[in-house]
Formats: sequence, C-alpha cells, structure tokens
Amino acid sequence: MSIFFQENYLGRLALAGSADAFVRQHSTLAQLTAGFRDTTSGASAWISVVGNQVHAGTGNKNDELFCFEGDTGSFEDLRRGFPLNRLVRQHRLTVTGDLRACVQNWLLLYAITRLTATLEN
Amino acid sequence: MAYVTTADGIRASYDMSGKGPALIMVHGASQDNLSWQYNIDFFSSHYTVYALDLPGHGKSGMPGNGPHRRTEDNAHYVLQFMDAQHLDESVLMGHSMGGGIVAQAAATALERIKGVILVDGASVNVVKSSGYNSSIMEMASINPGDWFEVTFRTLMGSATDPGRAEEIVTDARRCIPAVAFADICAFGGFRMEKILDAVTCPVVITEGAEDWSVPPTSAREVESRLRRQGVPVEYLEWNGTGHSPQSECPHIFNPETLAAMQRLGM
Repeated sequence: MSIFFQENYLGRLALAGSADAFVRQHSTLAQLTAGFRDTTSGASAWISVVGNQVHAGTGNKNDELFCFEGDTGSFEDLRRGFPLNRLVRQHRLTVTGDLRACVQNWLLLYAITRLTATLEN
Repeated sequence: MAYVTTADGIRASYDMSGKGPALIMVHGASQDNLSWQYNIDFFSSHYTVYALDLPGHGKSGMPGNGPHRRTEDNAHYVLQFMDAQHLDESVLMGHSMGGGIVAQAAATALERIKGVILVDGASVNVVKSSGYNSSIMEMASINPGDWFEVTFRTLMGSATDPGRAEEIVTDARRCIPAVAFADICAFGGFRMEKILDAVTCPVVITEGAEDWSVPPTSAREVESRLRRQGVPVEYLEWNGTGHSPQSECPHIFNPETLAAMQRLGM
C-alpha cells in the first residue's frame, strides 16, 4: 500500500494545504470532498476542502463527489510529487463519479496534491 | 500592433518589426503573440518579423463559424495572412500547436515556405505523449481554462524562473475558454506523422529536455524521419527547460536558434 494512504501522511498533507497561499487562492467558498482508491491494495482515502481548511483521512467519508483510482505505483508517484494531472493524462489515474465536479475543481486539486512534493523533501 | 483582413474575412492581428526576409511566428494553444515577447527584438535584427495572433486569440477576430478546431484551418489562415501581406515566401516559426500549423503550411505550400522552426512543436505520437483520448477530451471540455492553467504550470522546466513561469501562465489564462478547447481539439487531432513526407524545406527543431507535452523522443523521431527524406535538419535541446524555451530561456534560445537557421540558409 502506498504511504499516501496512511493517516499520518494525510494529516501532514492537510496541514500543508491549509497553510498554503496557492491553495487558499483557489479554495474560496470551496466545499469539496475527493476520494482516492488504490486498486492494488483496496486502500481508500479522502481529502476535503471547506473554505480555506483542508482535511484528509483514510477510508470513506461518504460525501465524495468523485474518486481518483489507480494502482499503488501511481499513488507512490503522486506522493513523490509527480503531478496529478499528468497521472490522469497518462491514464494511470482514472476518475469515477462526478467528472464535472472533478474538473471544475481542477486547479484546487492540483494546488493541494502538488504539496506532496514538499512533504517528500 | 497592426491588422490585416484575410481572404476568408478574418481580421488578423500581428506585431511587425525589423527588416529582411519574412519570419512569421505562430504561437501555441491557449496563447497569443505575447509568446514571442522575448524573441521579436532579437530576430528583427535579421528578419522582418510578423508575430501573428491565430483566429480568436489575442486581438485577432473570431471566424464566422467559431474557433478553428483543425490544424489545417489554422495553416490555411497563415497562408492567407501571407497573401494579405503580399509575401511570396517566408520562414515560419511555430511553438507547440503552432509547430503543427507551420509544418502543415510547409507541406501545403512547398514553394512559399523557405524553412520552418518547430519550437517544442514536433508533435508526432501526440496521443501517447499528451494522452488526448475521448475521455481526456471530455474532461478538458468541462473547464478548458483551468485545465490549461494546470497543464502550463506542470510544463515549466526545473531551471525556469518562477516569475517567468507566472507570466506564461497569465498569458495562457487570457484565452477565451471555447477557443482554448478548440486548440485542444486541433492539437490533439493533428497527426504530424502523416504530413512529414510532404515537408521538403529546411527544418530547425528545438526542445526543452523536460517537455512532456511534445517530448524530446517525439522531436527526435521527427528529426530522424526528415533526415531519411534528405531534408536538412538541425536539432537543439536545452536541459532544465520545459515546453516554452523561447520564453523560459530566451537568452539561450535566441542565439542558438538563429545560428541553426543561418546554418540551414534560412
């Protein structure tokens, strides 16, 4: 299972997101929960943005509008800072659920997940 | 800033500078002729530079039936721009999607195009490199502006100054979303590999080593194919640079590209 799906790691990512200016710039009035599922291990996680606050945890939150699904290698690359959009463009991560809600929040999703690179260092 | 009306009735906006043989610069998807702001003055010491806005971009007019969704239509526009300027011949420089446009123009009007420069625009295998299948196209259509912003943000080279990167992103954001999506269709739908046989003029290929949209592997493939055809080719690649070397590292791009053009007699 990728470290991305560990509670501690997700907590650090949420903290970094809540403190990040670029995330704040794109989270005005945001109310969003995105799901993530490792198809290799079956592990799942969620990231939620309400206003300027980012929260994250393991398992299902039950209000996910959409979910990114991919194998363990894809989430390991995401954790190492490989951009979310490129994983999607390479068809290594696929989106299930409300595609429109996903792409309408494309910048916010990029803003949060890009912070994996800073956690890696 | 000047305007000319093409035979199809599109008001074509352009910046012109310098003296000498004509050099027309064609920007990439979701951009405009500001793409060349760090290059125009340099090249205008050797050429009459026309930095053109494609239809619906910058200050050019929108075609009557909406934004161009095919590279062939944009190439036709470039050739009509040459007609309107009474240019019998020109060198064409195209960035990214613009690379496909100038290659298509060169394949269409062999006798008029004296050379092409593909600036991260040697876009063969575009489905593989950019992932544009029907599913990805559907995603892009929902929110083309944000889609492009994220794309551009991840296309910068590791050595690129962050302030310059923001400039490039800001320029790309100004594009009308419907035009940006039409560009995605044009770029994603163009198959440069199918027209390369018809390109006979000298070609300069430039690449940022870290470009993933039109990666060096694609550009090398174009170089090999053109060489096998007997076409004079120069290939340039810069480390630490992404998809927009003309803006990311103009201090290197300008002199090295000009030198390659001159070696090929452009």
